[in-house]
Amino acid sequence: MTAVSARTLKEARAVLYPWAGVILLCAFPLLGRIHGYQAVAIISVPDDLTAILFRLGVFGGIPLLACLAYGNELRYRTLDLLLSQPVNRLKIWREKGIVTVVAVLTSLLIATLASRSHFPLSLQMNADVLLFLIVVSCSASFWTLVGKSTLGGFVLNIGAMVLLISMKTTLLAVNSKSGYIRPSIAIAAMWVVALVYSGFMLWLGRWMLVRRQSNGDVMGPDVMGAIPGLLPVRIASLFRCRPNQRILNLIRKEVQLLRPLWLFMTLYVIGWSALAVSSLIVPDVEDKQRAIYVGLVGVRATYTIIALMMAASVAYSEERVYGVQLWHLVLPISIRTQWLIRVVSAMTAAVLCTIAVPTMLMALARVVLHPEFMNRVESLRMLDAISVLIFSLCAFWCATVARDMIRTSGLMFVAGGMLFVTFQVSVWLTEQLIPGIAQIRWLVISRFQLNPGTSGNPLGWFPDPSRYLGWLLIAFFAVMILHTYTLFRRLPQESVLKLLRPLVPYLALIALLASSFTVQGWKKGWGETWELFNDTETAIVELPPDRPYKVEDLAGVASLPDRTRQWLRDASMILAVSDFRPTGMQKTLFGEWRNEGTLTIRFQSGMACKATFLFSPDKSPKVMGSSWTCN
Amino acid sequence: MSRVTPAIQVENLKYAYGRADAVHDLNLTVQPGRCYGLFGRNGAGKTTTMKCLLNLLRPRSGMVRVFGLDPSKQEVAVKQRLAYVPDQVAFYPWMSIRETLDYLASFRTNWNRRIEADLIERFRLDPSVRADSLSKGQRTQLALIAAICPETDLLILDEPTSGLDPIVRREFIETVIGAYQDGNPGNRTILVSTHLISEFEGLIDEFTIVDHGRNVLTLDADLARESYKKIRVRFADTPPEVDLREALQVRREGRELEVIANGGSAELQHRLQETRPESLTVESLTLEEIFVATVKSREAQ
Repeated sequence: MTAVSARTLKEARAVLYPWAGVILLCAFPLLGRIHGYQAVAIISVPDDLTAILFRLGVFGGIPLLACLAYGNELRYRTLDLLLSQPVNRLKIWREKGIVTVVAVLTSLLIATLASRSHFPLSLQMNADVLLFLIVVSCSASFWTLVGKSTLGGFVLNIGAMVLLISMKTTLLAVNSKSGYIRPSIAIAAMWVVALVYSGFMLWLGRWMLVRRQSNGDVMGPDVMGAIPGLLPVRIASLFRCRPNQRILNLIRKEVQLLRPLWLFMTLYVIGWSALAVSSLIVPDVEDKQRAIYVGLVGVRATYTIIALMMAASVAYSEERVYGVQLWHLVLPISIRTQWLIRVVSAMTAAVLCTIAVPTMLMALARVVLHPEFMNRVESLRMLDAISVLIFSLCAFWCATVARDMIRTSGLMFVAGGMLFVTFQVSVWLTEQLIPGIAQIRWLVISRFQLNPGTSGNPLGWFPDPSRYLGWLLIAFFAVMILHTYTLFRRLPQESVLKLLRPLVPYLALIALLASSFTVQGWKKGWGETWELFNDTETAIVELPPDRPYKVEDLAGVASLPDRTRQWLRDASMILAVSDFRPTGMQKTLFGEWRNEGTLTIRFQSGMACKATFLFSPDKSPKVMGSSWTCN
Repeated sequence: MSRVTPAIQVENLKYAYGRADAVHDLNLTVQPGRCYGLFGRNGAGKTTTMKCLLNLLRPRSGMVRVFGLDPSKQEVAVKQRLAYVPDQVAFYPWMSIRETLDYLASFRTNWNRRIEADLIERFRLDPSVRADSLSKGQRTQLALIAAICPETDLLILDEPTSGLDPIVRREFIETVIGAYQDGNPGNRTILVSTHLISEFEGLIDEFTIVDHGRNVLTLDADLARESYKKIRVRFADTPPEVDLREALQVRREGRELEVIANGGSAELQHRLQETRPESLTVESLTLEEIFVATVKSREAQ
């Protein structure tokens, strides 16, 4: 293996899992199509989940992939080591670029295939998405090196894009109203500007790497650290720690750790507002209004998912990057308090960013802008508070395990997939096992000549989970949140197996629930044990009544299955027959049949069973099941 | 007669990372007021032991007590009585030195502002500087200030002087640690893990050498110096064959012979004298030399 291929492989390995995750998201509509959406239907997810996941893959996953080449080096603090090797920095830049381009292009290819079949967009919109991805991918290295982390780079990159798209939309809207330039020329000009900008950002990224200086042990100023400086002094002082306010200090620390989220939210507010304002300028033409309408909804959906993930995981991610988690656990304050403040902060941030702020923004837009248009936007089903809390909780659990936003995102999908597969496998396995259990039960009854009527469904003790579904879900999430407490004090894990280990109890719980549902729903098979009586009755009516018989006698006149022979071995049977004259309703039920048989079986064990059943004089099959008693 | 509760008591401690044993049946007792050294090579299990004391890791088996308290059950009570300086020091980057110290002080019932001001001045730190602008050495200085100011009963230091320049290092060891113990003589305990053993030579009262997670040697520092001797012998010609079975380490170089012995050095000295050497000198080993000799002789076995 050459040095170049070894380095390229190392780069590829670093983006492999995130790339697989993005591919999965982009291909989700295709998977759904293959299975006729059955997979989605079984877990009762919202109808638009496919669209949301697809958008998340395209607008969240691909830009994130583009940031990983440098983000990973910064995260593991290996960039200085890499740059200290006797390799030209331009070579390193090229190798990282190649891997990024391949990762982005393959994701884009899958997304295009999925989009063509599921979300057919106009040529203009396709072009816009393509342009977005080109600009974002070209800018990623620059913003990651500026942001000094994958997350910082991602937020800054998306932020810059939101501003650019807002400007572009406004300019095009103004132009389409005033008609300064022909729309086609305006769009072409926009493409040229965007491509030039992309080229410039690409060059800036290269320049940043070539000119990068190692700060040695100094961490160096953090871009996010500039935020408090931008705030008025009185507000900034609220977030300053004080010597006698330990709980408030912990809350202040959490608020500070969530800075990337606040920045992301601010960018969303700016971008969304610009889009909403442009709806005023755009002429009242259906397709143009629709484009803005789709844009507003798409931006909010993508923002909501990313913001929820960030709310749950940013604090962990930042602490891990700073390396402060360890000594913080040694401070003389209970871990429970630290954990509680983390949970409450994450949940509050999630609700604030994904419900409170967008709702306020919408209310404001409705007052300031035209209400009808806003009503249309709002009429779309958005995540409600409970969904946000449930999603945040799951994300928080994953973040507590993974301690990193990218890993958290990956774990969310892996865990979701594993739970789904476990559910399906458990249902299938239970379906396979139940007849086996029935068979075993039946064999035991035959072998030990037991009373087949003592129990109907041997798994009847299984509680019916559908009756307690609400409570089960509450218990499930309560366990999940309490579990984060024990996970909270765990030191970050690198191994994939160790990351997945905490999932095992949930998989077991899902398997139990799935089996329970299946057992409850399974009606077939328990009746089979009654076949022992049926076989005996069918055979004995062929013989003259009022005489004792053995199993061999019955086998001589009818084909007795092995199980019945086994059950009846050494038993003595006698059948008494009397007339049965149906009247009234009975006549309607039983027709012309009028014989009533009373069969008595005495077993070696001392057990005696008595059966009463009806049969026709010509010994044709009975019309009703018999009634049995055994002692 | 009442028995004094040890500051630290570790019995048969076991911890493993996956299948790899990090600590195996380790025993350790540190009496209050002592400065206790925990020496070992990289990966010997020193940091793991400290993490078990701090309840950052849950031992697989064995008993860990800090001032008679179980860290896993009385975590906050234990942590209130100790301060810890990790091997890799980090702080929240947006906080200044002042804010970091205020933040850490908020979790303590006691914080000595006089010592804080004194140490900030001694280390020449600017309280308004943000943590993300500090060098590794300055971050260690800040961590040391944060560990000294609460005046806890126990100080756990994991490689506390790595990254410090020699002047600050010497000052820290001689003055700061000394002042910490003198603040409440006989009651303030230090558990220190370091590779710079020679720098802590004068401070260490007792030490344990750990190798591959096992307790190899525990000795009082003064007793160790009395027991471990280095005998240097110079001959007129090639050194003769002498029975040196008791020696821990023997090094021959030309006409010189260097023997390191643990106890029985008088007997060895006598035997070597009988060979009529040109010169023979006997000197006590430093703690660092004892550590090297112990670990090397163990490896040789």
